[in-house]
Amino acid sequence: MGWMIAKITKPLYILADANIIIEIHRLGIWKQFTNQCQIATTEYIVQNEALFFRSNFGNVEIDVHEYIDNGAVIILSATGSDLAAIYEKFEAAFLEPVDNGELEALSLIIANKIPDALFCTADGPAIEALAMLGKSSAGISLEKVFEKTGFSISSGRLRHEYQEMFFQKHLGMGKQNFVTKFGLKPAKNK
Amino acid sequence: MELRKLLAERIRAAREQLGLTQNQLAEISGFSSAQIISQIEKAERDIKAWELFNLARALKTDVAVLLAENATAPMAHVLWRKTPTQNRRLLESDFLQRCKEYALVEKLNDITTDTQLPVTAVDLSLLTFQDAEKMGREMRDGLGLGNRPASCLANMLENKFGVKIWYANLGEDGSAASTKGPFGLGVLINSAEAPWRRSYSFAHELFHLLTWDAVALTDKTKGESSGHIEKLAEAFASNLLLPDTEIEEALRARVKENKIEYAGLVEIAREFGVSTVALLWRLKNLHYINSDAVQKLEDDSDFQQLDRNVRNGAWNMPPAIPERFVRLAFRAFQNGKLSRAKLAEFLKTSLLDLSDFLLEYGLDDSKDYKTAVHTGGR
Repeated sequence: MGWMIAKITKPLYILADANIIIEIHRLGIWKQFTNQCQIATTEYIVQNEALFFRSNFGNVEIDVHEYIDNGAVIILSATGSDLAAIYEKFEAAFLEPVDNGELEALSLIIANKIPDALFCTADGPAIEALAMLGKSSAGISLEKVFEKTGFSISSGRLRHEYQEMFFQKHLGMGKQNFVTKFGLKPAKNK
Repeated sequence: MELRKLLAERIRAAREQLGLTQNQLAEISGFSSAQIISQIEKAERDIKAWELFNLARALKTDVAVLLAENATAPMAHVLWRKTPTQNRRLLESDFLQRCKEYALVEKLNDITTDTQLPVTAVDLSLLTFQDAEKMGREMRDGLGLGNRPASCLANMLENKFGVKIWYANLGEDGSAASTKGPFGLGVLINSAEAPWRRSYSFAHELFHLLTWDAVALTDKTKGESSGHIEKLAEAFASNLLLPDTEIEEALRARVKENKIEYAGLVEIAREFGVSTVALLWRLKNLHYINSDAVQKLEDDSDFQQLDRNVRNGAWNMPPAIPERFVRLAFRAFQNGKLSRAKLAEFLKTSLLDLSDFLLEYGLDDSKDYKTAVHTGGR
């Protein structure tokens, strides 16, 4: 990866969900938000998602490349091997509903390539997977991110999947799966 | 095997299976040049995760299948009514992938498709037309399709028996296809067909689903059943969609002095949701008219013109994505089992247009549909 985590002093949030980037724009706080924290997203999002949001003036395109160029957004890129590692831990069927952006971020978490970052997502199965990896503390809801970065956005203004309650519910489900081994492959004997 | 080599082999095999060139695959996957594909297939280059996602999508498969240590089960077979002359593999892979997605959204809604169609074991080589006709009648009654079966057949197959129904513009090439796999049963209908022809296709494909296990592997591999089986499917469909007593009643109401006006015939076909040609052949089999009369009517331009004029108003396009699939995917999203991005991907729309797309199906993603009502414990 062509970036240095060691130089980052602001909290690093991985926004592997294009909807979260869109939501922050929709709320009109993107610029202030990037002043408060360092944002990372996955290469899959950058390569695939044409990001737009609706404003009173019509559809507005979010130029992620502009933010990458000015350092506001860091790109995280997983390798095929990183991705293979996640399929060694989870049953393929469990990962089917997880979005590709989240899968890429999760594979980087498994590979321990982003140790100090917090993974912010609104993807229920991805949150569960995080808990099943025993990495619940590496995840954060968008509502909590706003709280930590000093933005007072009432939960009523946020869709349910961005709320802390949603995040905690899915972390709980993931912890339960961890105990029952649901969705996890048996550990290989070394 | 080393991952790079494993992926090289799997990607090349999947590309060749679809009949794509390296150039085509590069273009569909969003790669800048075919050289990247060439390097990947020669195991000269590592693949990034995002590239693998894009390749899997372009190859109509899953990343899990490409990465699996052991080769996964072969693709399910698809039986065509008329095999497409172009892009057959692409159409089949797309259809099968959509069936898998359909099964996934069912699973996310805790819906099991173990409700089986009442299949009876048959030996297709010994099955007569009379047997197929009897099967059609029995199936109509068994499924509770009533007196106008075409009006509810697709709904019943999809909602009660979990048959995955998809539409694709197959043009003049192929009129319909059916499949059976780990995802259950699936039917592909030609969206370019007239609605009354689609009804017939549902009934025709139902015969293939019911007799799937009896079809020879050679036919399944070829992708097309024998002419005899196709004719059996026609006999089955005709009897399923056009109940003799109901047809007789409809006919009696319109016959005067042993004659029925052209408009009367078109009316009956419309009422039963079938093409006039299908009705004419059914009348022939019920001995109301003979083959010559059928042929004469089929060649009669006045009759054809009248048919077209009357039917024009009844033309409708099927939904791009089946309504049930949209509802189930949306419900999975609302219950936190599917992300918004995945929902958009499944519905083949963009994140920006997702809300509008859902509204077309009467679903408002700003609303909570999870509010429940107590059913009294029954």
